[in-house]
Amino acid sequence: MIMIGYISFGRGSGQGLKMVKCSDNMFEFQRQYRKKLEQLAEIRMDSNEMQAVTALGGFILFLYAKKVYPKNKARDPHKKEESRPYAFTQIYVIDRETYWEEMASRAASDKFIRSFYNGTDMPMNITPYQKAGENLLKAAEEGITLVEDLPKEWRLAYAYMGILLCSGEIKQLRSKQFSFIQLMSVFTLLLPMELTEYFSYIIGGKTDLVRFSESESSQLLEEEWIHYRTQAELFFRNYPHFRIVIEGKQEDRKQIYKKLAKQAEEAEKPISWEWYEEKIAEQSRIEAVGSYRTVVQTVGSAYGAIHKGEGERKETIVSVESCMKLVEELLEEYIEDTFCQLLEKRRILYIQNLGDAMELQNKIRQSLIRYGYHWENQNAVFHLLLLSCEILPMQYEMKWRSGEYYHPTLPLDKELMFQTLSKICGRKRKAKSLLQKIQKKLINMYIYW
Amino acid sequence: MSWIKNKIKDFIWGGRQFPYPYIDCDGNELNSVEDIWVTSKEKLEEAIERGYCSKDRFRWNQEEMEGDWSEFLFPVDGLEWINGGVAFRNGETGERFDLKVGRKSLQILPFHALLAPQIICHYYGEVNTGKTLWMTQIICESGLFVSKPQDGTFCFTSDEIVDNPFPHPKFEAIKAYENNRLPEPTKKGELSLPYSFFVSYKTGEESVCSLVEFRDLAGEVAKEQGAGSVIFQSSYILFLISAHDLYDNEAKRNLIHLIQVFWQKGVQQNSFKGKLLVVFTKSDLFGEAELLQELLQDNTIWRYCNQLRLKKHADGYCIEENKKRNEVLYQYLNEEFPDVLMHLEMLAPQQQMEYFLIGSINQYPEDENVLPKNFCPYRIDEAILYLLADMGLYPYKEANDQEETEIEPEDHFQQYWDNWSGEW
Repeated sequence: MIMIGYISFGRGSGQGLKMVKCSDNMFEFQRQYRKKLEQLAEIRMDSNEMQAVTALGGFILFLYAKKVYPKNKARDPHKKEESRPYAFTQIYVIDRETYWEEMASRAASDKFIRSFYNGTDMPMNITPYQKAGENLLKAAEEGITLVEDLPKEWRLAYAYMGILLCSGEIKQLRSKQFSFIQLMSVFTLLLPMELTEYFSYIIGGKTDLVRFSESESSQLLEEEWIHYRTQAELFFRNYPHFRIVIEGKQEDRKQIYKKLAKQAEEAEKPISWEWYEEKIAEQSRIEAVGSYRTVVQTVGSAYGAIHKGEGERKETIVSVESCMKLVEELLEEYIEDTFCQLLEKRRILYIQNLGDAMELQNKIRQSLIRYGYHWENQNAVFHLLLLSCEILPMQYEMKWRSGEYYHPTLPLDKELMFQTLSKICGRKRKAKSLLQKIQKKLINMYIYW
Repeated sequence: MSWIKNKIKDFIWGGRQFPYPYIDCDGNELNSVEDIWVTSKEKLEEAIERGYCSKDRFRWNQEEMEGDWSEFLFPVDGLEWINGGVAFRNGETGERFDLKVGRKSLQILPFHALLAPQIICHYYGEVNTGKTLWMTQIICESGLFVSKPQDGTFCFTSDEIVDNPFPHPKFEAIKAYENNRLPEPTKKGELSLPYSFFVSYKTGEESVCSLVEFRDLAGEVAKEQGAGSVIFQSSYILFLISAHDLYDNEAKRNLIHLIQVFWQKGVQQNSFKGKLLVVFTKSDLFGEAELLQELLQDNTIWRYCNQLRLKKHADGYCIEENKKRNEVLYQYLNEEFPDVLMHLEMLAPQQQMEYFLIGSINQYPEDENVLPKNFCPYRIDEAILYLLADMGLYPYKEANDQEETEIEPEDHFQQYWDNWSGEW
């Protein structure tokens, strides 16, 4: 990881506010944004140390300022020195992606600022190692731990409250669970990289140049969440893939957000949540379709751990009709590869539209009833029956939340399966014996009913 | 010397023009009702609460103003005038508006803005010359100027709006000084708002008054002042030069450069019409200068019962003292720093230049920047009283008056209290 640049300001020379050190690649940046940088260097401090994060010129700026009390005892008229206390400010200029990946988590620790050069500007004894920011990488990644330790519901809660803070619907909040900088870190790590600059903050100072400062508000985020919960549920229902990303692991989130960040740069329209949802869904499809070797697991899917396919697929938009063609082929002759293709298509269909996926199940059941059960097509019937009677992940989750608990490894609608079998076989007794056969088969596949 | 007549009585209420122009912090000249809005503390607090501006922001500007401000800022048209324009009232609702706001700069104007003649005194000088400290002292030690010179009544009081919801940029410096600490360095980006005083002098039937404003600037910004700078519209420029600026070679080079900037931008291009007062600061660092020894022993103020009091100029600005001091400082400069003197004289010839020497603390501050206990500043009154006398707001004391006023400090104070009638 490369820290982009370093700039520091101080008054130790006695000639007023001066830029003390600047890394080579920052000359143009500091020349272009000199006035703003000086404003940042002159933020009014409430205490002896100040920490802030803000955005400027497409970069994220991480600031640390400390008050210097000059110790010059000898008041030599022949030497003009600064004798008043002043702020010595160090600024690391980081590209947004690097900040998100490497700094946002480390900044959650209140010991993080110990990683900065702790001397003064006069004399300035910063090492090249410190100037390059490599010392900052030694700090613990506390933010990631905080996020990973959160139960999924609370991750969604903090993510949603973060969204409300970004949009301005909520102005300021305190947290019972996290300190101010921990909270900012959690928001940053849960949400896409593009939103990083919205979480500009300051501790130990006052300025209008950042959005958030440590609040003395009596409103606690964890208590306010109750009022927004329903709204949040609706939000995540509309954006299920985004939800999965938030609930997922940090590493996965990082990869997805990195790709989104690149796409966001190229996007012509303004970025919206719909855009994020679409792109994340695309990412999921590409991962599923890009290689048959990908093990696809969804909540409650019976096939997630079982079927793997070979080959490459390029299509990203699937229709019910194209799936039904494969169903017809399978009922003619069961070929595992064909079935894997159907699984892939079915998954894409599900991602595209739950309704289409359910329609496909319906049509498969109708086809099975039309073809009937024969010894020759028993494999096809077995697999297509399971496929068509599987409770899809969204349905499974809705049922689970409403209290209708289903076995997590086999969310099959048994009642529907029996009814369909009955219609396939024509006789209930045969349907029952077939059902028992299916059960045995599933047990052999280590799926317990 | 010119006596400024009080024109408020002649002012026609409800007209469109105010009796006196006012130059705001951005250099805009305000004259008429079209140049201002009016508002009240309650309206501004409502604006803060509704998120139109921040409570910490000293001033907002036109570019940053979002939304419709017509609920908070009102034109004077249609309002009733109170006391010649001190406040305004909505005849229908009875709402009272006692804050005047400049339309272009959005500066909340001082109480007597547009109602009294304005005198602008601008601090100027390199970094760390004592501009902010001296200005803060004037604000915090304004009681120093309490006196009854030549049996007149002299008033020197703050004209800042008492219920301005936005803190003045000098608020932090004032707080530091009141807590016995040196103010922090002035920020480059600090809003340059004046601190205003209402000054009046009354003897018998004659009275004069004025709005005297002091304006500070960060030392780094001094050399960035261009030809159009508001500084050069000032009546007086207090050009501060510290002992370091003379003794430290690098600092002296910077000083000379600054003088050249002033000469080119202020004098040549701007035709600066005001008066330049050169003030040498950090008087304690001139301790080894032989030529200045006698001057350094002779303070014009003293501390009594923890209060600073005028001594030399209590009964009027002493012309003789002024002349003596000027000569000594001129001679010192001529002998020790002729290069600096030569550059200064480009700005104004000797007879038009006034030289002063001050020491805001007159000794080194203690650890942690704490001001020494019971310190007595050195001659911080002189330049101020000079310019007030120059504007006719303070009487002069001629040489033949000197015998009457050479009294012991205790007696002087007793006499002062004996003569005080209780009126201001």
